[in-house]
Amino acid sequence: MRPGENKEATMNCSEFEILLCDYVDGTLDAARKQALEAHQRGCAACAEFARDVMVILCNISAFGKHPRADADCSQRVASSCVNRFGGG
Amino acid sequence: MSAAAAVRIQGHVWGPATDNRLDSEAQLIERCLTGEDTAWEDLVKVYTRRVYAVCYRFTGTDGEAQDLTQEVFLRVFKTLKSFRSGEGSFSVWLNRLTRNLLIDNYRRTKLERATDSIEDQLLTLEQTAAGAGRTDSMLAGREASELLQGALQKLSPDLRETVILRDIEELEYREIAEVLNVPEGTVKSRLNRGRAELARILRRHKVTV
Repeated sequence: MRPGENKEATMNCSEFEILLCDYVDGTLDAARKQALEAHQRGCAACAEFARDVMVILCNISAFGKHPRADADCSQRVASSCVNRFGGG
Repeated sequence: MSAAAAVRIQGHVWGPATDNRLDSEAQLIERCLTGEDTAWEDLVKVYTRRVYAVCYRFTGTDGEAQDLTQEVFLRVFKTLKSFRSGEGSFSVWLNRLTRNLLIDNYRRTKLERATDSIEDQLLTLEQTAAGAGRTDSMLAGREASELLQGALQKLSPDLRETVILRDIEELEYREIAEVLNVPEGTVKSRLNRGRAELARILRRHKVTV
């Protein structure tokens, strides 16, 4: 339980932590979405937690799909693997 | 959070299992198992980039990632016969194998890492942030990738692997649960804790995100 948890909300902090995934994915049904938003309004810790999650989600595309050195390096690894183990 | 915006990451790597992908996977595995000459090479070509990316994100070093990628394929070649297509997709099996190897490696090298000065590690991240000149602006480009990679290394293995599998490799929650052998609720909980911890790490190092 987080400090500042709103005990009157129908959703607790542990449930919030899990359902936040479905919320940001846009797959949460209306009733649970409403419960999650109500909990967030009443729980400062979860509101901050959600803000942090969103911040990373908004920035993580900058991470790139693959490490920058990957194109050359993975090719070397592929060649090495084929040479070492290839041919069954 | 003002809206339930569906924040999804661009592109696909291993992505959701589709019928076509599963068919081509199954055919490739069958070719390997029947000893077709070029099948192993095809398998390596198809999956090396993805395995390497996971290894790199987890370890943070190119050399270690290359070594681990080779180890992964060595294990694949040794154990492919144990793969049962009826028990899940090859991608999930390969992810599980990769994850197990990464965790083994993490445990094996834990002592070495414990001797690294925490201050040195933090200094590196601060220097990266300062060098990037991005302490007061949004993350962008290559420097963003490096800062996030540095922050990722500071997560616990449980949180790190979950963030990698979902936010970078874009596996479904169900697939991650299979790979990690934990319930989907645990996957989601770890994922959000990992994301929030990443934000806190970056904030501690004065990177405004």
